[in-house]
Amino acid sequence: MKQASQITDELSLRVLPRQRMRRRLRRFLVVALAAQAGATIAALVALQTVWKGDDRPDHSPSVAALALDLLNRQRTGRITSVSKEMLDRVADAPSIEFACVIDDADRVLLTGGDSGPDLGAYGLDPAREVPVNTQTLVAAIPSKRLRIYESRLPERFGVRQSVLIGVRDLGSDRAVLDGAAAAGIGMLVTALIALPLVWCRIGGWSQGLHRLHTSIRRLALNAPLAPLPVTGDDEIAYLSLAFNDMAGKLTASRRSLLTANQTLEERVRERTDELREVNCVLERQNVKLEELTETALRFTDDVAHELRTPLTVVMEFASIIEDGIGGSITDQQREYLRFISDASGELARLVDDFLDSSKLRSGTLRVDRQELDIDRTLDAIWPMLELRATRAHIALRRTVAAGLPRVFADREKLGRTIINLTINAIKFSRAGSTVTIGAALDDELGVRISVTDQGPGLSPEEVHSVFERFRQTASGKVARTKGFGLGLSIVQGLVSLNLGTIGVESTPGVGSTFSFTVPSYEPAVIVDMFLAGVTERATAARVGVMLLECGDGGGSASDLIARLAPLLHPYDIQLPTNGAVLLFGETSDIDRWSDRLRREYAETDDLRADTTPVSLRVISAAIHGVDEVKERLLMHFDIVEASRAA
Amino acid sequence: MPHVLLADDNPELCQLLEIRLKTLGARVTIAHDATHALYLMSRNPPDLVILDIWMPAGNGLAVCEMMRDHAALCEVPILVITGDSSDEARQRVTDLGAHIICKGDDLWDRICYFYVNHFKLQSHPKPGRRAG
Repeated sequence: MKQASQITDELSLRVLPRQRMRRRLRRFLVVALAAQAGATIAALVALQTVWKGDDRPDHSPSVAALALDLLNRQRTGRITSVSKEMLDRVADAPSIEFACVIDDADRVLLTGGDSGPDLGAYGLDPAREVPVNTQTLVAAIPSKRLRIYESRLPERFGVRQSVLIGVRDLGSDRAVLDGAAAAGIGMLVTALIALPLVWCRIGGWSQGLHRLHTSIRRLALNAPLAPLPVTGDDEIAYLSLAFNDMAGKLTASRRSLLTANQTLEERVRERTDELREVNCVLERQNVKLEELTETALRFTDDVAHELRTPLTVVMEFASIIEDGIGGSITDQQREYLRFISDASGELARLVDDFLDSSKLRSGTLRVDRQELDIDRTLDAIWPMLELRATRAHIALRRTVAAGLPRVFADREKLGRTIINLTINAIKFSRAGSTVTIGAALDDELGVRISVTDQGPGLSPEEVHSVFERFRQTASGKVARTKGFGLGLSIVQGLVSLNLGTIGVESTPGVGSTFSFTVPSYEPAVIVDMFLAGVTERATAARVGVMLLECGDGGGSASDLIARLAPLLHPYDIQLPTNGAVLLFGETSDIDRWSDRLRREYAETDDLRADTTPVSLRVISAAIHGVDEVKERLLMHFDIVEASRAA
Repeated sequence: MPHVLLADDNPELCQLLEIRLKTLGARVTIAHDATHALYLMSRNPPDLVILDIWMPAGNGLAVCEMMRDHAALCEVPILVITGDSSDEARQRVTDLGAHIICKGDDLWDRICYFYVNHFKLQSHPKPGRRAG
């Protein structure tokens, strides 16, 4: 709320001050009346001047007739004077002062009229030959208001005589003048009476208008407002009434708006508080969840850990007895021991699967992708697989195509994938059959590794449900039917981590081939497979990209990679390029991803993170999104991509 | 006759490994905790050490470290057997220059494989299992 004085100042600036308003109106009144008076006076003056001019009623026809008549009579000697009756006969010239006939020498021959022609008074001297003309006459008798008519006898009479007739138009003159004077006086009187009345009225009006103006301004400024006094029945009163009504309604609506606002604010505050509470709860739950996950993981770790020792004891003693070290055994005992070995072996594998599965699901597996040679990878795991195959009386074969490129994968996980699939194949094969491990080039995806068995095979529905069960088991159910269980879900996880895809082909009664891909060690293929995985896992993931230059401390790209590996998430990829390492990964929060990495780098010496991470949005439905990401990634490898068909 | 030192807190496990190792012609010494193992080792340096990680009175990895710093023991190969299959364990064992073997259904197979390769015992008959 403004200060009262401030409001008054404002109002005084904006409102027409009362005195000024009054003065204006009164000035207007004075001017109007002055104009009126002035007009009246001017009219009178004008009449006065005009009367002197040529604007006179024209009596000439009747006067002319009289004149002619007079002339005739004189000529004929019938009259010697002009009688009054004669003059009175002129209908519309009631006051003919005189009439006289003069000859062309201006000698008066005949006169007449009311006052017996006092020609002397008119400046006429009958005795003398005075040149007489109308102008002279009129000029000589200004006060008498005479109109002198001169009529000349027409030439045909042969005599040159003229008649002068003086006509006084007293009646109309006076009437006009009287009228004008009366009007003027009337106006002045009216003015004099009206002036004080209007003067006071103006005072009242200006006050009323001023008050109204003030109130309007106050209303606009939301200042305190008193209702206007409504006195009398005039326009100002009506206006004030209407204003009061409006002001009342406006103030009421303003007040209700304010209340509504306050209510709204309160409600917003309530909701915000609620939200904050909910947020807190969620945060706490989040923290708890994280802790629980940690605990669960550690628990599974510990459990697996603890289970292994007794398991080993069981298995090894069974095998010791089986081998006859504890003494000779019967065939029956051998068979029973076999059961013990098999079951405990199964148990051990289950423990492993269980542990791997939880690690895969929680994303805590560390992935160490390198350039690998397929042959050598197979060499490393071959003895162990051969052992198992031999024990199950199955032949293990290997067909690796020639000239296979090196692949980009985590060695241990690649090995485990092959082992898991092979163990499965062995499990489902009859004694005497063959399990074949093959490796061939798959053009776009890299190298395809397959494990073929000659087991019972799977029907098309089973093929489908095998993969469905992947997802079912991933949700926590350990489906033991058909013995696939966790094993294949782990395999799928491992294949995925190695940027590959997995599939199965099967003919019932003939056998099955499980195969998976690993990207060849080529940036284009690696990036393709990485992006394929990203778009499969999330519809709107982001790909963060960082280029890390190797420090001048002599470290190589592979050193850098090895050092960074523990800091990364399973789906972060590192590729060496041109003396630097290109690091890219899938993340839902680019900033958090890059911040984390920067923090880790800051603690590692001689690492320089050169580029600011680039955020690239990958949307599975929009192909151009994926292509753009691919381009941005591959440009670090100086690869010129053959332009694809649009 | 190769001398093998076994250190694991599980007595049955030690016993079964002892049985197996004896069939390969090894002489076996057993300890059930880290301190005892070190003591025995320093008294009588073995040709091969098989250790568990999680033991009372110390820890298999600490033993590895100590062995590394010990003049007589730094060349002795170490097999670390453990139920812990985590990558960290693997990494730590490798960092210490030892070999890791996970407890599982092929524990003896792997130990045997290593033993045979290390002591170059090609001619020694392998246990009956492999004969099918």
